[in-house]
Amino acid sequence: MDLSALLQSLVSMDNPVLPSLSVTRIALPLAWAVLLGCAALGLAGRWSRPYRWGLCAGVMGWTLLAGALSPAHWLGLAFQSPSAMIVFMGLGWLAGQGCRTRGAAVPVRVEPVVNRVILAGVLLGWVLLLDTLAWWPVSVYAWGFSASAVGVVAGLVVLFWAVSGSAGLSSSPGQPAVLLPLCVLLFFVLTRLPTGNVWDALLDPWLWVALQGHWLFSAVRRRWAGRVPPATRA
Amino acid sequence: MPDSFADLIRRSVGARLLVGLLVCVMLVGLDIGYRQGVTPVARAGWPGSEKESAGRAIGALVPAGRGHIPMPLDTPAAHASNLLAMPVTHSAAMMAFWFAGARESAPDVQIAASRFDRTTQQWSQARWVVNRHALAEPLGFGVRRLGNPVAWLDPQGRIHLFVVATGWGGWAAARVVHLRQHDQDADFANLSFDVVRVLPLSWLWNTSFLVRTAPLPLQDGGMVLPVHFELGIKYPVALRFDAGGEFKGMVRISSRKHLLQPTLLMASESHWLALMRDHSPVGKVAAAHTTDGGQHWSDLPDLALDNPDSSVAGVAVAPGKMFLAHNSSPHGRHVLALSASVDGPKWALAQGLEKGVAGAEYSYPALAWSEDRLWVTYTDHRQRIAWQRFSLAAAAR
Repeated sequence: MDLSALLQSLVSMDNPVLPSLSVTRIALPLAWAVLLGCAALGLAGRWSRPYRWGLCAGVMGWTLLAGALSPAHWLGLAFQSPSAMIVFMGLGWLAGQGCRTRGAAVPVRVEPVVNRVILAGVLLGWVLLLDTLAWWPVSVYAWGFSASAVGVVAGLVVLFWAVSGSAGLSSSPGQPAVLLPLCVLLFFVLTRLPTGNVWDALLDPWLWVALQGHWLFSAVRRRWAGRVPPATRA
Repeated sequence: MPDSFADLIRRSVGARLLVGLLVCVMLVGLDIGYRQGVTPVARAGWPGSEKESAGRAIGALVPAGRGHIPMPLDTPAAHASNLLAMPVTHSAAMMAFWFAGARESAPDVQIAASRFDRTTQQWSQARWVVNRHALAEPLGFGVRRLGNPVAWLDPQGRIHLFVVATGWGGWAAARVVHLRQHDQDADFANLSFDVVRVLPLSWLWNTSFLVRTAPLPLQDGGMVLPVHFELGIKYPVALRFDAGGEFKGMVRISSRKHLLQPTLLMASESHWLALMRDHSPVGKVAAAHTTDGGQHWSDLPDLALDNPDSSVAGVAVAPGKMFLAHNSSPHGRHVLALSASVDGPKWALAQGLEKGVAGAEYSYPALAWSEDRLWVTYTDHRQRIAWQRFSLAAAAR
């Protein structure tokens, strides 16, 4: 492939690669199984370890059933497949819970760099929602089928990592917050899941709602912490 | 060495930028490696042979048959038909697809099909070809309702069907499912379809896109499928497919937020018109066009044709020969007509199709051109699919 063809391939929006039905047929219940397993584990927070993990495994197994008995049948009907990003976050959380169960410390404090990544997700969601409602002069979603969208997202992530410095990224959640989008991009490039569009891999509407909720809550908490005099803080 | 490298990364912005650049190049290179290369610019193709009718001046439409397509047994409602012209070597001249059931959006609605036999010159008894339960297993999730089938024949002779399949929330939660004929050599009695995929068209849980009108065939064997978004606002979009039926991208047709169900007509191989249903109080057939094979679209002034917020269907059969089936009264869908144009902006009534009393409904027309004949189907009172066929008489000298 010569340079001209390479550049055309990079910027073209009419050469998407979509995952096959056989791949999505497997991936969709797996993705929902991870999320529902996380939810079950979270809701059973006060239970003892065997029961918590037993419930998690049971819910995941139930989700993997074929047909209308499975929650994935109904969740897919309503919401299609979750994004690769939220599935990776779920898997990471499950792994973290596993470490915690074994007594290892898992950092829970959210670093400022993570807040910036969350804010980026919130802004991306607004761009995509308004694009769905045809606010923008060009279709952002259609751009998500192109190689240039993958390149731009990867470029922004590495630029953020480069200028943020490693001071906030050494052993805190800041590092996964930067590595996670790159892992999702790599997963997307290799599998094209969930839809062949990079935006669907990076962010889904429910994740966006959760990010907004978290960002708003954090903003209110920081503002409140700034108003309360030091002597009255716990 | 690893410690020095790690220290370098920790201390140097330049080193991090370099490593980051390498990561980006690797990712993008890997991504491009999976792609098939650039899709050539689209060039539309005339249906049938341009020579067949290029030399003839457009004259009156001569009726050459009409009636109703047989319905599946015990099925009271039918709507949204679509026509598929078959090759001259096929035993059927035309196929029709529509949705039918107890009523629109009923849980028992399925996609029905019938074929017009060349020998008997009759439509066959309709049979069911797609139901929502059969879609659920290959998709891995449920389908709540079905509607609006649109058919396309690829260069290998396989029928592709694009069907509206909804999630929770009625037509606002609609998605477009792509199916392909299971066995291209199967006869009509054994016609069945395999799911290819749900088309990814929207970030918002992939909802609110519907298909309605016939695709525009391309010279490379592919086609452009008109669809529209319908969640509060409505806007038309063109989807491109290659000769194998693979999705090749989407382009918004109009920036106006009250237009839906575009129908595409070819003015030349790269100049196409999109005529659209208008949901606004203006009530005229809306128009847009592209002059670069669908890469960019721009709005045109509305046509003078009235449009009572109803579906239209158009076809260009040869240069300077365009037809549009539409509800011609501004007061409702009780009048259905065929108009003709030589240039796209100016239209004149060519043939009345139906004229009923106020409250009657003849709607959702479909047009197809095959072997010098213009075929029309349309919904008759939401109960049956009516059809008419016309030949083009030579113009008087």
